Amino acid sequence: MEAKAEAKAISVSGLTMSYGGHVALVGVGFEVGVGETVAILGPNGAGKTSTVEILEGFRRRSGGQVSVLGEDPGEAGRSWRARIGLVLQATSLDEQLTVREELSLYAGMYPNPKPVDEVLDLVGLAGEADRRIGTLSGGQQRRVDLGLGIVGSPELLFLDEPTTGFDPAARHAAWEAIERLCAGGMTVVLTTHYLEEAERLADRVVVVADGRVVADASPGEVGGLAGRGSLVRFPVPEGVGLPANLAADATLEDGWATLATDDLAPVLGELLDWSREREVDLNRLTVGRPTLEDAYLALTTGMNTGGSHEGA
Amino acid sequence: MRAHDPRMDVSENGMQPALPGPGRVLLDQFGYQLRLLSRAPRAAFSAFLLPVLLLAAFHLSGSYSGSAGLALVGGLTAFGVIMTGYATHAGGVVAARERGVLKRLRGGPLPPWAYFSGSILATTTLCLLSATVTLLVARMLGTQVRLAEVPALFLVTLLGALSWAALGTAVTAFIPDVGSAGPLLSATYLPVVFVSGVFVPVAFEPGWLVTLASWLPAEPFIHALSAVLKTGGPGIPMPPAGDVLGSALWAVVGIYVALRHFRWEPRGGEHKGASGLAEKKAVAR
Repeated sequence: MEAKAEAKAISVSGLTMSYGGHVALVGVGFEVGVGETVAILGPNGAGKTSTVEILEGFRRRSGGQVSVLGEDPGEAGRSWRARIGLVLQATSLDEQLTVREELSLYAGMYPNPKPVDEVLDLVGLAGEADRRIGTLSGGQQRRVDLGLGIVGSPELLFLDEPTTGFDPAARHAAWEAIERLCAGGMTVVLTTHYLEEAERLADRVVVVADGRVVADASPGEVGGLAGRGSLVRFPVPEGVGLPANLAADATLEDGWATLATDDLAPVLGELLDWSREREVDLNRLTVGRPTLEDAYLALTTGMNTGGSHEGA
Repeated sequence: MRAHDPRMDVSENGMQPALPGPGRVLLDQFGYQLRLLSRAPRAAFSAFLLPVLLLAAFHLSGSYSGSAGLALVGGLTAFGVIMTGYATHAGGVVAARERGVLKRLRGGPLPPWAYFSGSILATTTLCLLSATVTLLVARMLGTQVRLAEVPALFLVTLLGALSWAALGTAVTAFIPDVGSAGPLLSATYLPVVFVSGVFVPVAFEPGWLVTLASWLPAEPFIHALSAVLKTGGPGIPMPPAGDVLGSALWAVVGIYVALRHFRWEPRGGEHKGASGLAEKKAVAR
């Protein structure tokens, strides 16, 4: 972790972006260390894709400082582009080509490409190498996208919602492929709507809402930002009121009460007394830490949820 | 702790490996575009099937003899080249753009000139093949196409194909999506080729239309092809200099507009990014 902290693959400070009168980013700042995997999370329209497209060199920013692999992406040339890999938000492939032809074409653009067979193995498409891309399933095509992102041996890989539309098995296969890449030392910037994906893959999570960074920490630390240390959930039978001393802090929905607390023992005591008095079965009671999802909802509730398809 | 840092993948002398040179990237792009065209049914239709079918139809109808027949062969050869160089080429570029393929290419180390050159050269090669097949079929049907005419026919077809492929590349900037590509492309080239003497010699058209056609990109190409075919006699014919210059000028116009206005990113559909939509909203406001 110390090595990561020393060398920065990405450094962003005071980043602003406006389109006409619309302000998309307001002073965004964060850093990504070399070899780190960072997930950028946020609701639709929060500014995630604008941020990532500026980092990728597709957009010119309105203000602020951005350094990616030591260069300003808005000014960088071919050599810099050869050091990054892209997996765009939607599949972007030549459907008439075979998987091998497509990978070979892109490999030929880079100074130090991975062998195509190695990429095919990494993304789990060795058996489909000679099939036309148009005949592959959506999940397989997305894995070709991933293969194109890594075929140039990039130092930094941008993954923009890489597993959207995957079934659970395909998603787990893609995660394993990404984990293998991360283990090889690649720096990864990931945007995703799947918090489980961020929790599994990311060393750090940057939450963007309303064009600002509202959290920047490890997934576990961001989970702690949700507030209280423990979340208690217990069933409440119909016609039975909540425990009097806990009612003010609990929320009741679909016959389940949820309660956040920093001091668990008194709460459990109250609940045991209440269950004895009201003869409530507490076998299904759960106690847990707030998850990344709890934190994410707490951090972004009430902020811009877009309502449009503004990407990640 | 990460086990491996790819930045350490350097050559023995400590230098990062060099990017592929211009010849290599151009050849790769040329091969890639040619492969795409060879697998696109619309390319086979516009380059080979339609010109040959029209040639056969005119031959069977009997309206295909003498000087008028030679002009018709020139017109149909040009028609196949224009359809392929302009409509098929531009349709393919728009489809690639809207699928996000161009955005991905732009995001990598490929220099933009390599994409433009590779795609235009591949289309031009297909156009030359189209012209060859059309003229061979015309010869089989009785048209006099002399070996001495081949250099001039090659030069005229090369320039015509380059100019129409360049114009096709340029026009993609003004086509919003795949759905509107067909109608917009047809609306921009079909009237032009019809008034420029593809099927009916311009001599039968009103004066103002002849003047208008002479300023458009199809007429110099069609006229040059027909003029070479109608030369007859001994010696190696030369194409009319004015027509050659006209085609070359339109090629320059196409390249200029393409370089200024070409769009690499999808303009509609699922590939729209956040910033693109925000831009659209801002413009709407």
